Amino acid sequence: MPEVLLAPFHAVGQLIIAGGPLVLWILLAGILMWTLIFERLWFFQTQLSPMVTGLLADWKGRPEHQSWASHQVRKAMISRLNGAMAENMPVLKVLIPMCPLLGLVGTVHGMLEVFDSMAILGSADARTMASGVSKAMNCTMTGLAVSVTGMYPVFHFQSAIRKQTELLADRFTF
Amino acid sequence: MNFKTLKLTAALTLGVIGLPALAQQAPATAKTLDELLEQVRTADARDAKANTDREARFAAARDQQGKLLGEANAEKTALENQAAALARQFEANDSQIGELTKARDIKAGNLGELFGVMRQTAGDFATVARNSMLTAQFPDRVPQIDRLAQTKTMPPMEDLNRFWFEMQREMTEGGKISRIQAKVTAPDGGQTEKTVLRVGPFVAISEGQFLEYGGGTFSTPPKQPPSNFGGIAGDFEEEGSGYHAMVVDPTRGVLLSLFSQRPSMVDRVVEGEAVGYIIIALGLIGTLVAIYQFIYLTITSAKVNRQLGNLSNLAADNPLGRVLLSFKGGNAPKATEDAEVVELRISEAVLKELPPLERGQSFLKLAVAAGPLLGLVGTVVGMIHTFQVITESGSGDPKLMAAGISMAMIATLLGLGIAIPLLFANSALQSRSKRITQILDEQSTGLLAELIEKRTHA
Repeated sequence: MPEVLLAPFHAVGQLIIAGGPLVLWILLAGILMWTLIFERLWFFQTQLSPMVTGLLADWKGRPEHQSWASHQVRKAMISRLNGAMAENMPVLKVLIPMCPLLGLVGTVHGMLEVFDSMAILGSADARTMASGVSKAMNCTMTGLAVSVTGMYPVFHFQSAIRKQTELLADRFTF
Repeated sequence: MNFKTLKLTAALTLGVIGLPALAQQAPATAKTLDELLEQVRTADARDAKANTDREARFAAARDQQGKLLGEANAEKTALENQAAALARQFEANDSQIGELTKARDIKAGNLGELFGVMRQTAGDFATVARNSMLTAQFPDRVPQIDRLAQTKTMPPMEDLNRFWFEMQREMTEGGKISRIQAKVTAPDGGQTEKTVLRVGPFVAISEGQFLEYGGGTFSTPPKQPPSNFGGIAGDFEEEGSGYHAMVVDPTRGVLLSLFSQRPSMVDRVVEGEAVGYIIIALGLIGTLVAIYQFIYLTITSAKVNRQLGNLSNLAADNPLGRVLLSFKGGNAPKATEDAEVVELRISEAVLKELPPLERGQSFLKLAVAAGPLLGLVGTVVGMIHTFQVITESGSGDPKLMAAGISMAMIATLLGLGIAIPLLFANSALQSRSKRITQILDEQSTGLLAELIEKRTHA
C-alpha cells in the first residue's frame, strides 16, 4: 500500500531528475494553479450562496427599489459578488500560458547543454547529446501537460462567473 | 801458326775466358802466355768446383723442400681428419641440443604461453599504474612493472610476487579514501606540498578544490567544476569518519574536466553580448517598476479596505475616500441633487484615480512582449555569427560554431527569463488594481447612495 501512495512522488522525482530544475518550477506552478482552482471550487460550493443570501436579504429589506440610490446599491452589490467570484482569476489565467513558457525555457536550457557537449567534445555524438535533449523534451512535455490540466477549469470558472453574475442580476428584482 | 795469330788467339781467349776472371775480381795480370794459360786452367778448375758445390747445394735444398712438403701434407691430412671429427661432433651436439630443447619444451608445457601473458598483463598494468592516482602514493612501482613487462628472460620469483602484490594493492587501495602528502602544481606553475584527499583512484581534492592528475603529479586546474560540486568536496574533506555524499568521477577526471569547461551563467551572459545586456536591463527596470507598484497597490488596498469598514469618516489619503469626497467642500451631496450630475462627478473622480492604480502595467506588458522579441533578435544575431563562421572556416566544426549558438540560445533564454516573471508580476498587479478599480467604478456610487440614505434616516 505505501508503494501505491508513494508512486506519484516517485514519478515526479524521476521526472525532475530527467528534466532538470525547470521541471520543478513547472510542477510548483502547477501546484499553485491547482491550489487556486480548488480554492475557487471551494468558494463556489460553500462561500457563494451564504454571501448571495445575505446580500439578497439586504436588498429585500430595503424600503424601496426604484430610486437612483437603490439602483446604485444594487449595482454595487452585484459588483461585489462578481469581484468575489473573480478573485485570483488573473493569476490563474496567467498560469496557463506561463507553464508552456517555463517549458520553453527548459527546452532552450537543454539545447544549450546539447551544444555545450558538442562544443566540448567537438563531435555530435548522440550519446553525449542525449541528456540535453532529454531535458529539453521533458520540460516541454511537463509544461504542456500542466498547462492543459488547468485549461478546462479556468474556462469553466470564467463562464460560471459570467453566468452567475447574470443570474444574480435577475434575482435582485426591482 | 805465326806469332801474330797466336797472340790474337790468346787475346781472344783472354777476352773470352778472362771475363769471368774479371768478374770474380781476381784478375792476376798475366805476365806471360804460360801464366795466362795456367791462370785459365786454374780458373776453369775453380769454376767447375764452384759449380759442383752449387749443384750439391741445390740438390740438398731440393731434398729439404721435398721433406717439408711431405711434412705439410701429413699435417694437412691430420687437420682434415680433425675437422671432420669436429663436424661430426657439432652435428651430434646440434641434434642433442634439439632433443634437449624439445624435451625442455615438453617439460615446460604451457609455461611459455604463461610468461607471454604475464608480460602482456604487466605492460597493460604499467599503463594503468602510470595513469592511476595511486602512483602518487607509491611512486616506485611503475619502473618495476615496466622492467617486468620488457624482460626477455624468465623473471625471478620475487618480481612475479611483487607484480601480484601491486595488482592486489591497486584494487585494495582503490577502495579506500586516504590523505596523502603530495606536490601540487598551481595554475601559475609553482609547486607546493599539500595534503591531498584521494577518493579511491577516482577523485583527488585539496582545500576544497578538485585536482587533476597527470604524469605522476597533481595540479590545480585553472577552472573548477560548478560550485555545488565544490561545496560537496569541501564538506567531504572536513569529515573524519562516517558516510557522506561525494562526487566520484568513474572516468578518472574526464567528466569533471568536461564540467569545468562548461561555461557558467555569467560566461554565457557575456557571450550574449549587447542583446543580452539590453534584455537584462529591461528585466531589471521592469522588476523595479513591478516592485514599486506592488508596494503602492498593497498600501492603497489596505487603505481602501479600512475606508470600506469606516464609511462615516471619509479620509483623503485613499482613492475611495477621495472619490466619495469629490463634492463641493468635502460634503456629501444633498439627496435632492440631480442623480446624473452625481454620477458624472463620480466617474470624473474615478477617472482621476485610475492612472496611479494602473501605472506601470503598460510598461510591464511592453517588457513581457519585448523580452522574447529581443531574445529572437539575439538568436538571429547568434545564427548570423554561426553562419559567418561556417562561411569562413568552410566546415561545420561544432567548436567554432559554439560561440554563435551559445549567443543565440542565451538570448532566447534571457528573453523568456524576464518575460515569465514580469508576466506573473503584471497579472498580480492587474489583479490588485482591478479589485480597487471595481470598488471605485461600480461600488462607489452604491456606497455613496447608502451613505446618503443613512444620513437622511439619521
